[in-house]
Amino acid sequence: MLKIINLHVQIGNKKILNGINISINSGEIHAVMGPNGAGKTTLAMSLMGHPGYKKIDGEISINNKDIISLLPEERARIGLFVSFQQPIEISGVSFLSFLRTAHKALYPDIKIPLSQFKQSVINALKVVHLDENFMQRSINEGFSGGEKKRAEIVQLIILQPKFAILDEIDSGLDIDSLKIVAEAVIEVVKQQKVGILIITHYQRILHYLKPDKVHVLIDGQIKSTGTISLVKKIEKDGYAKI
Amino acid sequence: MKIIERIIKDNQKCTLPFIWINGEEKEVNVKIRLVGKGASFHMVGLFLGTGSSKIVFNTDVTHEGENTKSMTTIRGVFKNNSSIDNDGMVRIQNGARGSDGFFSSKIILFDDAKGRSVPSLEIDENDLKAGHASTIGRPNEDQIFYMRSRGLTEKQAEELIISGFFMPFISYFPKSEQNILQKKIRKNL
Repeated sequence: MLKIINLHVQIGNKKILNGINISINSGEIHAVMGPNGAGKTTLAMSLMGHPGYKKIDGEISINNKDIISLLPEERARIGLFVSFQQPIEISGVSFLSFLRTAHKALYPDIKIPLSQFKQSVINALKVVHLDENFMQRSINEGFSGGEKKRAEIVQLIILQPKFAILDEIDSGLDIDSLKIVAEAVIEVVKQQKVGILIITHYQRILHYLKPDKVHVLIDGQIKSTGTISLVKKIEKDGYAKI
Repeated sequence: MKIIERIIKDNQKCTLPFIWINGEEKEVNVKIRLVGKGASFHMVGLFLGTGSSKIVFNTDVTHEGENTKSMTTIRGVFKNNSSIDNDGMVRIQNGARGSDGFFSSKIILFDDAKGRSVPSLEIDENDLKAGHASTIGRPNEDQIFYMRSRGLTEKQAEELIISGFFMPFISYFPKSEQNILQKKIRKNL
């Protein structure tokens, strides 16, 4: 279980999160919706341990292991993953060699021959309809917005975390790509029992994913938690009435 | 002080790859004259400094002939207390009609390393193209965090980013040296 208890976070001197409580079981999908500036990305980044976000109170644990004092890479090794709203470009480092290095870092005891690893990357690329040649390209460099998002899903498939935070994985995706990404996420949940926290502005992807719970984040607090019907209410009435 | 001089004649193409990894040279001056029509020159200078190593590296490229082309590319990574001091001159003399000269430098500074890279253009001709681009900056924290979020340590992330930074320029060196260079870069990170 990914457990967030009373999480308070600030950036510089500005308080962004004011006591977040969310618990996600393996294999569950939770959605966080909220207006701009509510603290959604701050939640994603502070769960992953971004040094720019300062935790001032609260607890985060994965399967009862406290991760709050751990470095980002240590959190990743315990099984946390975050897909970035704006995936970062890195010149001269191929997507394949990055994935290989990351996989080795996460699973030092598992030895996979390169050819076999390559094949699993090819398969993962296929799942999100990306060409094999993406393996040899520099990470995210020259990828379109949609390709970057799909490449994040490839990483999710290959790196097999226990819990994944998907920060606006749907923004910038056309309707076909959205469906491809949603189906890939559903597969990962089914096969690997990954717990998902998806942050989004739009109901569309949630209609595919059918989240177990929907949380509404406003002013750094969860104002309401419900089912998919809450999404419909937001679409109709906006956040102001929550 | 080391001086590298080249005089490039009609339609000659000269590529000059240069790499300095905590090298013994303290000061290197590169003087290039493109004297012949259609002569071209491409310099790739890669620099990796650690500890307290220091380098002064100056390039001086003079276009004398018509339709001459030059490209000077400097890429440097400096860590600890190391430093680079770089002046890059591109000079286009009267009569070097249709010439094209460019200077580009990118330097990444870690820790307390220091860097200076100043391009200059001296132009005495109307029909030409010339330009420069120069950046000196700290390592990209977003890139490092992105990699750490996938399980790499800060050190692993930095090493991969630096290798990647040099990677596109390794192909300018003789094939037989490319592997050795990459190993040497990794060893010194």
